[in-house]
Amino acid sequence: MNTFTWLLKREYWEHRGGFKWVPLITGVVLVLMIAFALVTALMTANRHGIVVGNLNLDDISRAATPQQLEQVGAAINVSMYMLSIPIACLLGIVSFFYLLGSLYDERRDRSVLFWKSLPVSDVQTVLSKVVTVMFVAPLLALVATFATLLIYLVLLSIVFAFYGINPFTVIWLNASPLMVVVKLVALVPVNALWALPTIGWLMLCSAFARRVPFLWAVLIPVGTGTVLAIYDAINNLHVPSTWFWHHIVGRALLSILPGGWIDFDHVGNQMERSRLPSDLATVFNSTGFAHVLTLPSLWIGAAAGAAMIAAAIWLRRWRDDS
Amino acid sequence: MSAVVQARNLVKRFGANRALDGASFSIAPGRIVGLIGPNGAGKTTALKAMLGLTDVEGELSVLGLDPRKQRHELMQQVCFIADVAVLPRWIRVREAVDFVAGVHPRFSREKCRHFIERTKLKPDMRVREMSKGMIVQLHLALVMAIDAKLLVLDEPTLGLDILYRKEFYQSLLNDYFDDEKTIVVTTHQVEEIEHILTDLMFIRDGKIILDTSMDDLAERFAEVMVAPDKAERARALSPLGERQIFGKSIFLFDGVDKPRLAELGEVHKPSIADLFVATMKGTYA
Repeated sequence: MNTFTWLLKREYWEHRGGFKWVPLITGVVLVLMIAFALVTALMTANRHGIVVGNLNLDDISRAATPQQLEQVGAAINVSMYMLSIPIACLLGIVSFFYLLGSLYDERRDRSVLFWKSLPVSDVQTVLSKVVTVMFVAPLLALVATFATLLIYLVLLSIVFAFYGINPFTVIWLNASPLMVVVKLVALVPVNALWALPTIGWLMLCSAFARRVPFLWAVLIPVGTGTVLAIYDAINNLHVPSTWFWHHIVGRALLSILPGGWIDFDHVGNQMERSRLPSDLATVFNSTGFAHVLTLPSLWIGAAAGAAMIAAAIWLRRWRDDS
Repeated sequence: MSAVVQARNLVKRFGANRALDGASFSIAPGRIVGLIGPNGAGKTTALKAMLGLTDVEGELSVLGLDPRKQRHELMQQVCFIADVAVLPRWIRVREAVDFVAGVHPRFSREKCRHFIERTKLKPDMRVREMSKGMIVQLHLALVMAIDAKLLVLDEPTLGLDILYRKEFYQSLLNDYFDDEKTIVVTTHQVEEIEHILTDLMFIRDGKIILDTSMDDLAERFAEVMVAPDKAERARALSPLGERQIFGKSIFLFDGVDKPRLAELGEVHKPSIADLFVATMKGTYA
């Protein structure tokens, strides 16, 4: 194994709690909630029946057309996308604090002096942290997501079997957990590119701050935004300060959330117009990354992020306060 | 053989203060050099400059490399323990060994295991569960398993009890040091390293004020215990220092002929601590 792989491993060892246990525990909690919901549903089902994809389970058990089964599959696929969201949100929060501590904690406990006593360059060290947050952590979270989805389908299968429905023909042949996860894996690089300005900004603050990098990271953009807003209000300037909040504050602090680039207004409209589960599934499938890759703001943000990472590398090399 | 460290006219400014103020020195291979100075004299800054941890003005070359520009290459051959307890608190013994073995081309896992087996360290132990002494044992085991040409130690035993301190220097001397290696060490516990040093440097106000081998030191400096009636004669030879014990005066001389001193009283080799006190007189005044 080469040095860089060891550095990635080192990051994982140090942050096992956030990168491994947080997604796993979130998955377990989700599974428990689903199980609870299903049990409740089963208990009330005698009165109302369970509806999946506009179909009553009792009807499925009797006879469903292939079209209807397809709708069941689509509904389950949509629900799997939904299930991935809580884990993704927690990943965003964990990554945010990981970045804030990435170049600060080692200075605070002075272990930077140990790391610097080894033949590992500052470029390699800082980049290993960037790669960890761009790729390693999201992929680990997706492993947990995939496990959660599989358990979810198993639970659904049990319920279906309880109704005398063959879960293999109804669930496993129509729903596609693998497709959902592959799609989410394909989004990892897009999320990573989108997150670069936040990654760069937080690492820069982490390398720069003498104490409490959180305050630096948050107060500078938010403070500037507030001053601009006040200025805007007083002088009635035509530069809308919302632009600043959206493109500077938002990108510097919140781009770390996976899927932050999604045009939620557009998706929301489409979802309202959807009538069948398959329409909804199309919305999720088509939040593809083709459009985001053409956005200038993605690439400008990525360039700004890369520049800030370079500054963080310089600071780690020359900062001398330990 | 060419010098391991060659420094000329090093200057490091912190605002108006100068942590290093024209320090020049040279360290030959195969030596154990003690860099001794009062608090704030620039010891740590000098070491940091040698390790490329801080920028500094002046000519500086370590193993033929410039630590400011070629730090990465330099760290293949140089190792350091900067202060005690800088190992990350989350790391386990096993992880620390694996990591250093993974990134350091000159690390011997075999040697490291051998050193660790002599201690109470267990592979699954985390640094945060260890006593200060055990952390140093781990750090030393890691560092001694690296075949480095230059080892820099900055107060490596600060805050350790006497057992750990003795053990630290003993293993360094017995299991690590050979004539291929060079060790530079700073400490306030001068008495404890006196017998292992081959060279001595005193630093004061950012300047090297004494740079000598221990052999020359014994030639050059002498301590004489003088009875009160001869005290005036001794003072006439302009001693470096004078102190009183049991009604007698002890004078420290620099470069005065031994036979002349023998007329005044009993001549001893001065301890580094006494030499230090005499040389650094008035530092904090």
